[in-house]
Amino acid sequence: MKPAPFAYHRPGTVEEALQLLADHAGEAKPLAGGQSLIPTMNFRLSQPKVLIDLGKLDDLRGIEAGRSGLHIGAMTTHTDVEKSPVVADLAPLLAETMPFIAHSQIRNRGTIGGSLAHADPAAELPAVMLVLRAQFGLLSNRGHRRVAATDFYTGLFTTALEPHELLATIEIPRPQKRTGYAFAEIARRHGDYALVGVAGAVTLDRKGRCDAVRLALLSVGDGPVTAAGASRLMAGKEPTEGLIREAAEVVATRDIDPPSDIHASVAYRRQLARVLVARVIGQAVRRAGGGAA
Amino acid sequence: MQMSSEFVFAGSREKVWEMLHDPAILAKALPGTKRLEMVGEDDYAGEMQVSVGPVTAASFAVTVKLTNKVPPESFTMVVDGRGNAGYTAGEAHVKLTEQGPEATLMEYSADLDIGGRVAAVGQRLIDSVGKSLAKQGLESINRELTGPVAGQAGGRAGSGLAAFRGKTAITVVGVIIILAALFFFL
Repeated sequence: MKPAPFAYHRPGTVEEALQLLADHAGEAKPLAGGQSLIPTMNFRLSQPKVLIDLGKLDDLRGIEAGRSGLHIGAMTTHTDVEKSPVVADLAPLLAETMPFIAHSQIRNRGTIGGSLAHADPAAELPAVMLVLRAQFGLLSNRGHRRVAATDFYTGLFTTALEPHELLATIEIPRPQKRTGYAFAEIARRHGDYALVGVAGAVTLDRKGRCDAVRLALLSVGDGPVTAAGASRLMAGKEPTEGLIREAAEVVATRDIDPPSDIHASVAYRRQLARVLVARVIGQAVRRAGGGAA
Repeated sequence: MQMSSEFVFAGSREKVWEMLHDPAILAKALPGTKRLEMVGEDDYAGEMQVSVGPVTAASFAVTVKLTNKVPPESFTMVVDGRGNAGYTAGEAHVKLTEQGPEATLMEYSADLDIGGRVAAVGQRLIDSVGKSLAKQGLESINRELTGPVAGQAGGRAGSGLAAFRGKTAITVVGVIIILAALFFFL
């Protein structure tokens, strides 16, 4: 349970960190809390030659309410996000999801950027970012760029990040009017990897019909999975109980292709998705001010 | 562990069989192949190292034996893979079915024992990694099948690697299945 030898750097400035990352591109891993990276290294399933510890980079930490929405520094810990009144106000879905992430000990050290860049298919935050239509700010020693969460996740543990790039900020637009959010997941014990999880947002029009429905699931594919079929089905319609059931069925049978493991078969995961999607849409509709569900 | 899936190639069964026998195409189709050699009649050994996303697994020694060959329809593979991080052993069955003049369905199923550290910590990811690697390898073969390079690659194989032709290439599916089974973590 000891890692393979590696060089360790603890830069004092973001510029220094970016230079180190460029100098060791492909061989270095940024250390952003270490709650996933260090265990894999200790099992020697991951053997980066260089670790760049981002722990001293205070510029990458913090939560701010800007004109367009919420800005969260990538090195902000899960606990700081969870306890933030600004997050509760401007991103209620994110605030609601935080307690589901692992255990409080892990949330005290793990960071939002670390989790988003790791791209574990069982992670809650990537799915939440898809639903919230977040934008990620990436830095490198050549400049910066913004990538939408929807374009960021490209496969199993794979993102749009280049080896010399660092995820620096997460921007979440302000909540829309007449929009309700909800999150639900099933894990065998609290803090375990969820067997299935669902994040959702429903925006209603003035007549109480669905203007937009956004759903993203975790633990059912290579990364966060968007339920496009269900969104199309519900668009423009009144969110009746029957329609919600139908949407849940579309998610369970068409939008996802879940894996099986010793904890849950494919059929069981589909059933969990069916139940959780109906629950999440129903709650989001009620929170958006709709009555039917 | 049971694994099964299917894939539709855009080509006739004979053409697919031919492709699966072409070492030049195989080398491209298998991500992380460091070495793959014939060590006996229908008996192969090699070394693989692949990575999924940012994580790199240790390298694995792989052996594959072919049995029950019925060209161009089906075969069985007895597979064995060993590395520092874990091991796998078992059997895989592959079947090719004609679906039309330019479509061939490949079905494969495997029954594998998996153990070691990877099994202890990577259980939840086996299926996803398996699907992901198999898709990557098979799509890459399919691209060769539909692309203009196919004929050329076949010609090269015929000259330089004639000895392997019809032997080595068929292990592509076996190796993909082994990789899928072995390469998972956390």
